This record gives sequence, structure tokens and C-alpha cells, in this order.
Amino acid sequence: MATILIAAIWLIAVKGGGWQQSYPHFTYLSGWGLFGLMLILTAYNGRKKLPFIPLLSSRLWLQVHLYLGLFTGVVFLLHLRWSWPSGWFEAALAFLFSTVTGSGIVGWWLSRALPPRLTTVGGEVPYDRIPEVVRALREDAERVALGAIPAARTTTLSDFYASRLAGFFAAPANFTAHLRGSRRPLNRMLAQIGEVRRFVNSEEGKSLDQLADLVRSKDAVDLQRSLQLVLKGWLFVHIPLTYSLLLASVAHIVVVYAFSGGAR
Amino acid sequence: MSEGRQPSPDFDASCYVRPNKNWICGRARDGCPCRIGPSPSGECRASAECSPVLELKPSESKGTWKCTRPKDWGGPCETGPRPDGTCCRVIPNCQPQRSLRSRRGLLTRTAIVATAALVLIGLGGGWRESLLNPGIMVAGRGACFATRR
Repeated sequence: MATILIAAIWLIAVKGGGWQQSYPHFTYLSGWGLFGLMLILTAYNGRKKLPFIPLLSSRLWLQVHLYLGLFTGVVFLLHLRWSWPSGWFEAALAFLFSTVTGSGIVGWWLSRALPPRLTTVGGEVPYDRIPEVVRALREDAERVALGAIPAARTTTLSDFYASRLAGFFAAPANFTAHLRGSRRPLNRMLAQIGEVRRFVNSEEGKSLDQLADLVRSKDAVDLQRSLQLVLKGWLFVHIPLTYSLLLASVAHIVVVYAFSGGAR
Repeated sequence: MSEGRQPSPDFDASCYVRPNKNWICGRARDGCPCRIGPSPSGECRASAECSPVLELKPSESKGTWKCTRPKDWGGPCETGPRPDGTCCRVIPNCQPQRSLRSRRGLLTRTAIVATAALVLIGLGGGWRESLLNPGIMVAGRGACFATRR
């Protein structure tokens, strides 16, 4: 499929200029072709909503969507004659198309780059269940912190939990750090646990080890949440703007035919 | 069924979270969603943790109400049902929230309406001429007219 795409792009790049010179109405042809391609690309969204209909595999649809999307980008440049339009409406339409294509390329990259990181960290959690897992970890951490008081007869560990760890366990944390792949927040927290270890006795030390494990688990869940949110989030740009683009394209077609009397 | 990953042995299919639901329990963000979840139209349906059943033995005339709370939600409660057969563990109502998928759908519909409104305002308003003016004609487009002259 990649070979076909490269061949098609090469053909357009080499012959496109000649076609435009030879056929006066080539812009109409490329415009209708572009609109048809956009409809096929949008149909992928419809295909996902109808999984029970046997319309080839979703994997094949995705592959076709990706390669056809790149090809559509080239047809779009050909339709624009390799120059940015100067009219307001055309410029807005070109901006919409560029944003949809750009967000699609970003989404493609994200869906290739992030899943390996999700599986590497382990403990794969469905996005919808993350709050439940966070709550369970928080309850475990509170139980460990409070449980150390009767045995050790001091509140060192519970005070440390209340001042340093309670906020971390209360809600998802370190969103941007996880996106960057930084382990600095986790290492800082583990270093704080290491510092407090000097002030606790052996009983509290065992509880501190459990707290450190829970901190690592919570950090892994936060990583899952951050990456999964980004994997779902890019579609908030791609899909709404796709439908806006289709609607604006219909208006563009109407306007073109309404004002093309002299050209025909 | 041999293709793909299999669920773990302790996976409970009855608790499966369906991401295509439009509404999720208002307490889901706190990690404690109710078992029944909101209605398809987004109304809270939580009433009590279980619906007690009346067990009537052959020699009894009144019977006994028995707690039916599922095992994965803690099993039968210690207090048991009230004498009138209602559950003693009432769940306060919540404000269901839209799921991520539903929010995306809402955003898509908003974008469609906003685009349609902008196009109609642009084409019908006083800015029509400046909006539709294609600007300076590039050399390539001029060829289209040049062939007709």
C-alpha cells in the first residue's frame, strides 16, 4: 500500500502541472476527487459505529484510511495549485483541511509511539476503571500509614503521609511529566521516602516499604491515565473538524458552481 | 475465540465497563460508581444496594427477607433488609456525567452546527462579497479563463 501511495504521489508531482495546463477544467476534477476522497475517509468513522456489519476488517479500514489520508493531502495541494489561497473562505477551508490532516498525522504518530510505553510499564488498566484503581491504592496507602501508629507508638509515618503523599494519592498526578517520559517526580517522592527512613523504627520501616510500592503502583496508573487520555484526546480535534470540513466543502462547491458561469 | 488476548480467569463479565455508554455514574470519578449506573438518557437510577427477596419456607406464613447484594459488592450485608422488605443501604442519588465518547459526540455536533451557522451568516450577511472574493488569481487558475477567450 505504501508503494502504491509513493507511486501515486510521484505521478501527481511529475504529471500534475501538465494535467493542469492540458485540461482547463482540471481544478473541477481534482476538487470532486478531493471531495470523494474526504467522504471515503469520513466513512471510516461510520464503519467504527457499525462493527456488526461485515464491511472488511477494521484493521484494513485503518490502513486504507491512513494511506488514503496522505494521498488526499497531495491531491489537496494539487487542487490548490501548490499555493495558499488568498480569499477568506478558501483560506479558512484550507486551514480546516490542514488542521484535520495534521491532527490525523499526529494521531497516527501517537498511536504508534504511546502503546509500546503503555505495555512496557505493565499493569494495563482500562481508562474507565482508573478512578477505581486510584481509590483502591489510596485506601491501601491510608491503611498502611494509619496501621503503623499502634505498632510503632509514633505518628512519624502518618504525619509524613499526610504532609507529602496524601495529595499524590488523592488524584491523578504528573500528567506532563508522564507525557515527556520523565521519572523525576517518582524519583523525588522515593527520595523523600528514603529520607524519612532515617527517622523510623523497624516496624515503621516495613510499612514504609509498602508505601514505596504503592507510590510506584500509583505512578504507573498515572502514566496509564496520561497516555490513554492523549490517545483518546487527539480525536477531539480530528473528528469534529472533519465534519466541519465536509460541511464547508459543500458550501465551497455551491459557491464555485454559483460563480463559475464565465468559466464554463 | 482462540484469537487475540483472553481475559484473566478472575474477570467478571457482568461488571464489564462498556465505553460506548453515553453516561457514567457521577461517583465514577471518585472511584466508587454504583452497580446499576445511569439510565440511557442520563438519569440516576440508584436506589439501594440490593433488592431483597422473600424466602418463604413451607411451614412459614410470613417468610424472611434475604439480602441479595452480589458477592463482588461485599455479599449479603450484616444488617439485612428492613422488615418491610426494603434494603437498608440506600444509595444517595448522583449527577451522572457524560462519558468521554459522548463528550466527543457532543463536540462534533456543536462543531457541525457552528460551521453551518458561520457559513449561513457569511453567505447571507453583509460580508458576502469580501468573504467569497477568491483574492488575487494565480497564474494557473488564469489559464482556465485564458483558454475561453
